[in-house]
Amino acid sequence: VNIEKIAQRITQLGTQIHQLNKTSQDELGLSFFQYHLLNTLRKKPGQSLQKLAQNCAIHPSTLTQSLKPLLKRKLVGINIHPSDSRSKILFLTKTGNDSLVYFSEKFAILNPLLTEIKLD
Amino acid sequence: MKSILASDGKKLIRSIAYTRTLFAFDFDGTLAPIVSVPEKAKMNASTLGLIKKLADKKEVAIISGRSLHDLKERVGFKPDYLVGNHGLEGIPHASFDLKLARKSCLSWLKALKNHDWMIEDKTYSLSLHYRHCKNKKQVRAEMLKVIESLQPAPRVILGKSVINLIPKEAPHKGFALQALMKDGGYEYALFIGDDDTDEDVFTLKDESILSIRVGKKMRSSAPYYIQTQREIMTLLKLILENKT
Repeated sequence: VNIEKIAQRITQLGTQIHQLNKTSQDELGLSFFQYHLLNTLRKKPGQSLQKLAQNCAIHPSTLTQSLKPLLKRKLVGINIHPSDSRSKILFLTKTGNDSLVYFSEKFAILNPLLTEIKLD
Repeated sequence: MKSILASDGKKLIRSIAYTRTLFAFDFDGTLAPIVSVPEKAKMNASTLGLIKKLADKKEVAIISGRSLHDLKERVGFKPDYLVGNHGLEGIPHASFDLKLARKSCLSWLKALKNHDWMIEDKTYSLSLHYRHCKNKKQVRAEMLKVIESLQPAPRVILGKSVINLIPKEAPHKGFALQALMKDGGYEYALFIGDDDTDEDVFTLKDESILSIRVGKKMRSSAPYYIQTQREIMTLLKLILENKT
């Protein structure tokens, strides 16, 4: 095992992914993580914070932080849980859905960066 | 339990326009008002017009306790899916042996033949109606006592002035809805029903299903409700307002 090579490749990947996410956010309005979050919510509207975190495979506290800008931009809406007034449920708004559609339509502009990363 | 027609509920209904949703409805007490004689049940012209409009745009299923034959003649339009007998009929690729269900029903009919009750034979399940009886409570108690001795023991689902007898291993409405979702590749479903048989859907607690009950009932597992059957028209209008 060549640890030096692995470390170099992982560092390089980190930089490339950071660049990809930055371009994606600047050009398409969403990072890949935000896209994943919104798309998971699109498929199942009305998920609780815990369920959404579980479905996105992230920690609930990470989700709370990640949701803040999306709520501020009104891409995601929030309601009180119908059966438990202490918890909340989330849903995609029209603006949120428009963002997902725009992301999908313009996705091709990220192809050069994606080719560089060699996802496969 | 919250009203789906309140501000929060409306927002949620709007958001389901962005996902591939199957719109599933119970028939009696949901799309059609409850009537004293089950044969007279039908949708009013306005509800029929609205659901036809919805079926033109989206995929619609009707999941009822009625027999499939009866349901086909009664609905007045062609939905994408029609499921009868509480989930026993109309599920694509279903594996339940209907002959067994019929055999059970014939045994029950034989055991019940000496009672002067209104028994609806739906081929694969039975419904014992007591809406027309003067002393409903007493008749219901008598029915339940006799049902206890039936062989094979049926699954008993109490409804609005009706007792449904269903073969124990038979698929129920919840199973039926999930099977339809799988069959059509739906990401999400909206289901609305009014009766105890619909609790088979409500109790699923499936995050891919938005469950709504006709009539607020604290013991129900449905998270949302509409106040009366007539509000189905308001709900259908709200769904139709959604634009993707």
